[in-house]
Order: sequence, then structure tokens, then C-alpha cells
Amino acid sequence: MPDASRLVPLKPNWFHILLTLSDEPHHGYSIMREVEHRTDGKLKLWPATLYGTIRKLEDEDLIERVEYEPDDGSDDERRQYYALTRFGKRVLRTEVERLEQLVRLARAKTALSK
Amino acid sequence: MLSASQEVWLNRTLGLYRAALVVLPAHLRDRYGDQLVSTFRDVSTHSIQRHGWPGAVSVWGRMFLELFLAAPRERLSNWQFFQTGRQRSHRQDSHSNIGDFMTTFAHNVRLALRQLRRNPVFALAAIGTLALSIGANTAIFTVLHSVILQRLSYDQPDEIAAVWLEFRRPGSTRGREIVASEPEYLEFRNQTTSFASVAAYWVGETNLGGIEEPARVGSAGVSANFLETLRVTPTLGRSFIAGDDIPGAEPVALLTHGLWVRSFGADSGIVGSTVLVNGVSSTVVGILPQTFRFPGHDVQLIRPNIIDTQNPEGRASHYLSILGRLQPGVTLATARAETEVLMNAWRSEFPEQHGPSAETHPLVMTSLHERLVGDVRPALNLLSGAVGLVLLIACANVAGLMLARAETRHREMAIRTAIGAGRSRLVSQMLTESVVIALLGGALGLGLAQLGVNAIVTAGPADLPRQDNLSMNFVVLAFTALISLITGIAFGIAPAIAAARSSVAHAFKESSTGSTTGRRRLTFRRTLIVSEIAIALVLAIGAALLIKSLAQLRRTDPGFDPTGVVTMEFSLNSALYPETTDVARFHRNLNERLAAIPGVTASGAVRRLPLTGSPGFETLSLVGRPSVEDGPSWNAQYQVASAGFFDALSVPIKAGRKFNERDGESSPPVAITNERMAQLFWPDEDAIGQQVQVGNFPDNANPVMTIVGVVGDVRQASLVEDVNPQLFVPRQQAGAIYGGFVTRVSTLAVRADTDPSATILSVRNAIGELDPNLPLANIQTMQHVLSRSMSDERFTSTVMGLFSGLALILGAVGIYGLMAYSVAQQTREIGVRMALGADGRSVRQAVVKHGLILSMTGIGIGLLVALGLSRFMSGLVFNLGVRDPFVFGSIPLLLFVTSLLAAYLPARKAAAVDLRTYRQEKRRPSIR
Repeated sequence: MPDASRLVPLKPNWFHILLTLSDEPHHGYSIMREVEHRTDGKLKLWPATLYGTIRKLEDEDLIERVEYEPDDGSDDERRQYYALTRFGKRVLRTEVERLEQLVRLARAKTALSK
Repeated sequence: MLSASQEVWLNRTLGLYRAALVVLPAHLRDRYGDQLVSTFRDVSTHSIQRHGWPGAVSVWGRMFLELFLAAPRERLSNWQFFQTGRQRSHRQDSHSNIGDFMTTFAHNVRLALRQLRRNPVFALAAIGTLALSIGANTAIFTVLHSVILQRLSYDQPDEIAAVWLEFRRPGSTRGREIVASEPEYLEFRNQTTSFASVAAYWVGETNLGGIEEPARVGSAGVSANFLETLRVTPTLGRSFIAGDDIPGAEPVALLTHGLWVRSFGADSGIVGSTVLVNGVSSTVVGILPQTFRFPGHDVQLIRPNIIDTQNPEGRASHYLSILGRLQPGVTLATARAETEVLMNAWRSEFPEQHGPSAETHPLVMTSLHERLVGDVRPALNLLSGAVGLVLLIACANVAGLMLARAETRHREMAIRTAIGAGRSRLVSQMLTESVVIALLGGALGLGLAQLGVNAIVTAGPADLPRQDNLSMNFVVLAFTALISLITGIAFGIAPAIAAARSSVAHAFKESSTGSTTGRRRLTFRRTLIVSEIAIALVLAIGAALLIKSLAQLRRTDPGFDPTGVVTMEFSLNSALYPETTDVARFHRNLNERLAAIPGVTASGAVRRLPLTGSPGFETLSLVGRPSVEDGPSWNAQYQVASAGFFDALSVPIKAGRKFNERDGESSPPVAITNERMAQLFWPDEDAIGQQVQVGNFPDNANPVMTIVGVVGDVRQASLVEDVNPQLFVPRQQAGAIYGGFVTRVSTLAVRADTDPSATILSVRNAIGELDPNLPLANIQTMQHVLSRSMSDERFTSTVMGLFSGLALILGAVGIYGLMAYSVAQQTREIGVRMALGADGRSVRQAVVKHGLILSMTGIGIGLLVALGLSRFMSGLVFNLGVRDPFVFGSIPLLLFVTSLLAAYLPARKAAAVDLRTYRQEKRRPSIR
């Protein structure tokens, strides 16, 4: 198994796409909407950037194409679904741990503690 | 679900997007192309459903822009993958050329920028020329896009049709427009099946009271289904409902977002409360959306137009504009065919109103969009064509400059060839240079365009439709980027190929005129000169026609003297002035006060001021002349005027008398005609003493009016339009014609020999003393009215003049540059000729002759093209043939002189060549 720490810290686009795929598989447009929704519109992944990033994530074995039928029956055969690979999950977990540690460090400073 | 037309447009755009994917690296495109397109579709569909077309256009712009921005990044990152060896090996071999491409491209751009820095004069000339012409193109495109190309902001605007009636002269395709009467509207609404809904409206001005500062605002009376027809829903409160527009309904009103913010501080509590609309207490039931624009008019308040469907007003009372929304799937042509049938039925049932034939009195129907912008389309098309020609001249100029520069870079090119650069590499380098120049020019042009658009907004035509829509957006940006790119390639390609043809041997031989390449270049230069002259001539002729037409317009006698006249509009409150006698008393008091103002020489009131549009036509019957079946119907513009009106505007009395104070309610009805009406209606008789009646139907009970005077013709609708028959009725008697209707709307005209601003102040004070709450509107001088009426023509001819001036200067500079360059190229030949005994004079003559042959060829071609294109100007010139001999004679002469001068200066230089210069030239080629 490749070394997960090689890829952290993750770029924001990578992080948000991996986070979106952590619950269930999504297709491109639904990743786009989910990210936009979660970041209150601050991060909008337009198509060319989205698929450029997806390409890199696939090349790094972080995500993979899957056959998937959503529960609500809104499947459309044009759509390609993506899911996290095991390695992807590991990288995401490593990144989250890194972020947690960062936050802990920051909180330890009185000025930022709650 | 999307509608059919939305699907069509979406699919077209999808096709474009798919084609544009070519900018992405091939492997990304191959792997994700279908998904990219599918996501593009999802985003667009979502956006159309939520925000309609504006939303779709906006996300399209962003997605295209994002694609173009992401492409270099993707290519670069792909290339970095190769460099760092992180890319998987199985994809490596097919893409190594992409990395090469990127390095070459980046290298070329750096090289191009360095070249430009090294030749600042060349850079400045080329970029400046392009910035001016691309800027002009962008500005005109912005107007074209906002006014004409962009769809109206209603849901499915293509389904909305506008309907009106016209009186036409036999053989013409346009005529005098007439809106519909109540019975016509009701029959149209009830008897056609092509429309899902048919609405009617009229537009006017209204006193808005019951608020801190009473104001006169643009208002419309509409049928209850008007907003439903446009598919507009108020953002607050409710729309009008059936029952709001029947007699006895509670008065209600809707406010536009703008009025709501301005006059009510965006207080949502206003919904449900009452305001005074023309003195009548009305409930505000809703606020219209911020994006809502009333079709074609600045309307801020909408109220129901009450129609008694059981007992509508007369057929001759035309005041309703009709809009209809077509049933889904029904085309305009089908609807037109249906209205033909209705019109035929009208023609046989009401021959007086609708006769004699479909050719002379048709029912006209177009899309609402066409109705709103149709009038400005010819002028904007003309300007778009003209500005495109300016760009062509600029391209020719810069191509000339590039060509000249390419010649001086023979050695550089040759050396680069010698050390292994391929021809395609040289072409791509030269092309990159020209594209960089064009893009820099385009970027600068965008700034200039913004200035141009600002100027158009402040100084443009007064009634340019959809003016508030005017802005530079993504589409405009994309347009500018595209024309910059095309321009760069257009002017760069020939010089690039020419430069690449340079071979090592060629460069060291250095003599170009004798070789095939030299001849080819010579032909290219000559073609450039001839085309520049031809294009400049076409533009200058167009501009000269418009300028001469404007001059004619300025000389047109409006029929009145505007000097020292100020005007303003008001409408008396019906609660305070219920009867005609109350209105009359107000005017009598006002007149007394006005007469007491020092400097005021005359004052009067009229229903509709000259040059501000038609006051509406009435069908008349002439007493003693039986109406002839299939004969013409007697129509005249119906004006209500006070006794002092003719004096206030200095309209001459040609026969009989003016109105006076004795023409009151109880005295015998009188009227005054204009000269045109007198000649047209009574060609062989004296108009004075004739009797007319408003309306042409059996048992006409309207008062019989005796003509007591004939006044000079006044241009009513505009300076351009022919004078129509006009009937003036005295204010106190006007009401009787409409069954006791009281005319409370007036436009006051006051003539004074004092400063207009002082006059306005005194008149306002006088009115304020009589009625402090009376809002005044359109306070202006008559000079301003006159000048405003020419604003369209002034705008078109000014812009066209600017363009052709630019074309002439660019053309002259270009011709001079190319001629000078030719002479420089022929230094050797000239030197030899002079060594063989030719004197300076004969050399000069030879060069000038050469230039003149080229300019005559250009002028000849330009004249032919101008003659061919002139018919497109027929609707734009006034009182002038589109092949005006003066214009077609003088402009070629002007161009001839200009090109003579442009050829003479280099010729003088040529004659000064001696063998010493020739030797210097040989050692160190230089470019002038």
C-alpha cells in the first residue's frame, strides 16, 4: 500500500471531493453541487476544473469509477459515479487527523481557546 | 422540464461546448469528454429552470471561460507529470508532444513580448490601431447585444405577439399605426384561438399623491390578465385578478420595484394601504419584481383599465395596445392567418372603419421583441457593418506594418532556419506575435469600449429601447476575445507565411522585387492599398449621406418657433376639479397670473405638444358629404388647444381666426384645421365655414363643429414623419364630444423673452400659488424638445461620422506607410534609374502615378460597392436620395486628394534618392 502521508496536506479541491465521496458514490454534477452547498457557495468546482481534479485523483488511486444506483431512482446512464478507494479513505483520514492536530495546537493558545 | 425552444438552444450550446473541449489535453478529453458535456447539461438545465435565460447565459459564460482558463493549467500539469516521472508509463508516449507545445507556446509569447519591447513605435502603432477599432466594435456590439440580440426578460418571450392596425398608402409596407378600440380588443380576444391569452394596455402619466412628495409618474392601464400574459408574478402581494377591471371594481394598483424603493422606502407595509392615483384613493395590492420592465415604456405604476364588456366605448376610439401569448406550438404565421379571417369579417361588417382593403388597412402582428426593437434595427445594423469595416481597415494597416517588419527580419529568420527551426515553427512564432498584439489591442479596446458605452448612455438616442439593459457582460467579453483572436490571425497569417518563406539563400541575396516572393509581396501590398481605399470610401459615403440627411432635418421647418418657449405637463386632480367649469376657472386664473409675469408674451395649453408623438386619430364625418362606400375614411389627429396656444408657439394663422375666450361650453362648437387637412378634405373649397363631426356612424349625436380657422402645418409626431391632417378643438368644448368627459391633462407652453430658467421658476411659482400639490412633469424648453426629436439621427450620423473619420485617418496612414515602404523597397531600382540619367521629376511622377493607379482602382471598387449597399440606407436618410449625386461626387474626390497626398510625400523622398543612399540601404536595410 502506498504511503498516504505523501499526499497530505491535500489541496482544497481534492479534500472537498474526497469528503463528498466519503458517504456514498456521487457523479460529477452532484459532487459539484454538494461541494458548493457545503462551502456555502464559497467553493464552486466548474466542469473543466472538476474533471481535471477527478483525473488526478483517479491517477493517484484515491477514487475509482463504480456501478451505482441511487436509492431515489434518479439514475441516468449518462452519469459516471465515483467512490473512494481504500487508499483514498486512508489519505482522507490522514488529512483529517492532520487538521485535528492543527486545530488542537491552535486551541492550546489562549487567544483562540473557547 | 425545459420547453422546446430551451431544448434547442441548450443543444446548440452543448454542441459548442463539446467543440470547445478541443482546448483540453487529448487524454482528459477522451476520458471525461462525455461526462463534461453531461455535467454542462445538468448545470444549464438547473440554471434555466431556476433563473431562466439570464441565469443560463451567465453560467454558460462562466463554464466556457472556466474551460479556457483550465485548459492551459491542465496541459501544463500534464506536462509536469512527465517531467517529474510521476505519470504512469502507459500514457506517457502519446502526450510528450503536448509538453513540447506548451514550451514552444510559452517561448513564443516571451519572444513576442520581447520583440514588442524592442520596437515600441511599431508596438504602439499596431496596438493603438487595433485598440481603437476593436474598442469601437465592442461598444457597438454591446449595444447590438443588449438592445437586439438579448431576449426579453419575460418567460418564453418568443410566444408574445404585439398586434396593431395600420393605415397604409397602396404599395407601401409600412403606414400610420393605430392602436385598437375596446370593441376591437374584445372581439380579437374572444374570436381568436391562436392565443392562450390576449391582454390590452395603454400608457400615460399619472399623479401619484397621498405620499410626502406628490409626483407625476409613468403609468399604464392594463387588462386584468396583462401580467399573466407576460407571466410576471409580483414579489409582494398579488397580481390583478378577474373583476379588477370591470366597472364598479375597487381601485387597485401595482407598483414597480423602482417606485416602491424610491417613494416608499421599500416598506412592505405599503401593500394593502392606499395611495392617491390621479386623486382617486387606490389600494396597492402588490409590488412587481425588480427585473420587470414594462414593454417599451418607462412605467412605474400599473392599474386595471376598466372596460364595460357589455357596453364598450365606440369603435372609433382607439387607445388600446394589444399583446397576446400564443398557444404552445402555434406560430405567428398561423395566428396571422387567423386574424386575416377576423379582419375580413370586420371589413364587411364595418366598412367605414376597416375599409377599403387589407392592403391599405391591415391588422399587423409581430413578436413583441420585434415590435420593441424593430425601429432601431436598421441603424444598428448599419453601425455594426460600418464598425466591421473599420476593423478590416485596421487589419490591413497592421498587416502592412507586420509585412514591413517581416522584411527587416529576413536575417533573423534565415539564421533561425539555418540552426534548425522548421517552417511551421517560424509561422507559429510570427502568428503568436500577431495574436499577442491583437489581444493586447483587444484588452485596451475593452477599456475604450466601456468609455464608448458610457457615452452612448449619456448622449445616445433619447428613445433607444431597452437602454437600462445596456452593459458589458460575458457575451461581450467573449465577443471581444474572439474578434481579437480572429483579427490577430487575419492580419498575421500573410506576413507570417511571407516571413517563413525566407530561405537562407534569399536572405543573403537581399533583392526581393525580382523574385517570385517579391512579386507576391508586391501584389499583396497593392491589394492592401486598394482595399483600404475602397473600404474608406464606402464608409465615408455612408457617413456623408447621414450627415447631409441630418443637415436637411435641421433645416426642416417644424411649423413653430421654439425660441424662448418653456413647457411642462400636469393633470388636474379630478376630486378638486370635477367639472369642465372648474378646469376652465383654473386655466383662466393661471393665464392671468402668467400674463402678469414680466417678459411673458403668450401662454397656452395643448393636449399633446408638437414633436412628442401623435395625440391619436379620430374618424370624422364631413357634413354635407355622404360617405362613399369603399371611399377613404376621414381621419385626423385630434388636438385640444387653448386660446393662447397658437400665439405661444407662434403657429401662423393662415385663414379665419384663432380660438378666443368666447368659445365656451355653451357657445356654438368650433374647430380649427391645419393647412394639410384643409387641402386634403376640401381641395376645391374654402375650409372656413365647413362643418365636421367626430365619428362616422349612423345617428351620430356628437356636436357639429364649424371650422373657423386654418393654421400652418406643425410637425406633430416627429420631424421625419409627414404632416397629417390635424383638427384643433377649443379646451372648453372638448368634453362634449365624449359625453361630458373632462380634459384635465394639459401641456402648458409659455413664451417669454426672459431667460428660460427664470421663466420656468416664475411659471412654477404661479402654478404653486393656485394648487400647491399639483405635480409637474417634463419641464423643458421647446428647443430641447426640438433637439431631442433629432437625437436618433444625430446619434447615428455622429457615430458613423466618427467611424468614417477613423477609417479615413487609418486609411491615409496605411496608404502612406505602404507607399513609403514600396519606395524604400525600390531604392535600388530608383537608384539605378537615376544613375542611368532619370531626373528627380520623372522619378517622382512615376511613384505618384503608381499610387494614383492604385487609388483610382480602390475608388472605382469602393464606388461600385457603395452604390450596391446604398439601398440599405433608404430608411435612414431623410429627404435625400440614397445615391445623392453631391455625396457620390465629392467623397471620391476627397479620397482621391488624400491618397494623392499619401503618394506624393513618399515620391518626394524617392526623388531625393542618390547612389550614396542606395549603398547605405544595401548595407543596412531599414524600415520607414
